[in-house]
Amino acid sequence: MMNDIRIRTGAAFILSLAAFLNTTGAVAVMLWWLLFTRRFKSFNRSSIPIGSIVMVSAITLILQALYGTGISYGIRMSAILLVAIWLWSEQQPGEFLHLGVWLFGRRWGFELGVAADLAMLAFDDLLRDLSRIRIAWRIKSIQLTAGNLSKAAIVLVRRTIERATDTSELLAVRGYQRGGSFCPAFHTESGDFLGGIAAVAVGLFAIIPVSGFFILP
Amino acid sequence: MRICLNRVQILRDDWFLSADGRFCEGTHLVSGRIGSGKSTLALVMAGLFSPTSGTIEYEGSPSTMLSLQFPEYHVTGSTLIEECLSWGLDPSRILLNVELEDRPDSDPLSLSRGELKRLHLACVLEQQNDILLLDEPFSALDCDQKMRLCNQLSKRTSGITVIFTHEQEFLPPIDRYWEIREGNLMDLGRSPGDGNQILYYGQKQERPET
Repeated sequence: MMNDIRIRTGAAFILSLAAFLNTTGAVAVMLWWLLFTRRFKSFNRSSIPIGSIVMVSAITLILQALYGTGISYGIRMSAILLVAIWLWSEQQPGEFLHLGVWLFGRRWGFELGVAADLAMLAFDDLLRDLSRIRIAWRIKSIQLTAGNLSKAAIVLVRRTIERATDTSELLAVRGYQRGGSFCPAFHTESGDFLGGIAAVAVGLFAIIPVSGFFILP
Repeated sequence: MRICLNRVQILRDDWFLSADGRFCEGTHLVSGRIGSGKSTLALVMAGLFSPTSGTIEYEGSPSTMLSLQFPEYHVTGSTLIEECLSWGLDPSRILLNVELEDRPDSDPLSLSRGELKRLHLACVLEQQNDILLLDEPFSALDCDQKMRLCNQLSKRTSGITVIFTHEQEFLPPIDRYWEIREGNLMDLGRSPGDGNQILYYGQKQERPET
């Protein structure tokens, strides 16, 4: 587990770029993922990653069948997905506020951090609502299908708006206008530096041609 | 009829809940702090969520009903009539019961939270299930409606009713008290004052005549 969100976010940015650039970079990112993350335990937070993997697999097959470029796309997208799932699973509430203020200061950084944290919170709440709706409908022996999805969607939107209203009222009552006084704090361990340095190495490996590392015949 | 929780454990990251106990016929109250696991325990007892370890046994072959805290989760109908029908119930009877008989074609989601909760609870209670699990049934209800719900629950003469709630003021007669404390389900006995437990609920009421 990478504790410091600064190193984690930076590493995720470099790794995503490396995976996007070429297949070699994507393979290196996968190796990094095997060495420095909790691997498949990262998938525990939600079943959404499984859905994303199914979608990428389907597009890979279609691209391979039509243009023969599916494998490259599949490897690169899989690597990017693994990094995204890892980043999401490691995220802790309030972290973006620390990162935002550290990066951009107490005015804009605070605003961005609060917005990012609230967005993550809303997403988690949305997933919880969806899970509860599925349970509630199961009690009534009704399956959640494409046909009746609109009813569930209305409930999800309504709950999200209600929560947003509550949050905005709370911020208004506390006198919030813009920015805020906040001292960012980070907990860094030696493993964080190791993972960060390895991510930079993966980025360099993706940018610099293989011939730059090895003397090839 | 009994629900037996045999060394049930639910583990989720750094959160856990451990429950071991027997829920016999009567009305049970399960309390605990926010996030202590009341809703999760309700799902487990309804057989809708698998624990990490341990088993749940239902003696007899009881029918089970779980009411979730937020009534909108249960809504599947586009009108109040459709909503009642989705529960397999007679709409006119239910709507009359909850004083919504003049709005049969209204969208359930256009009702206030209190009105929707009333409608939902009426549908749930009308089912007459052997096991009735109610997650925060008093939330969004005003005092009159809370009293009314207490009276309705008091009239259940058979089966197991388990109320998962923070409510301390309005409660039906309770046969057994439970509390989730530091991740463990504790049996507080026939009244919260049994043993060395602190009495913090209202006085036990007499069961009204049915």
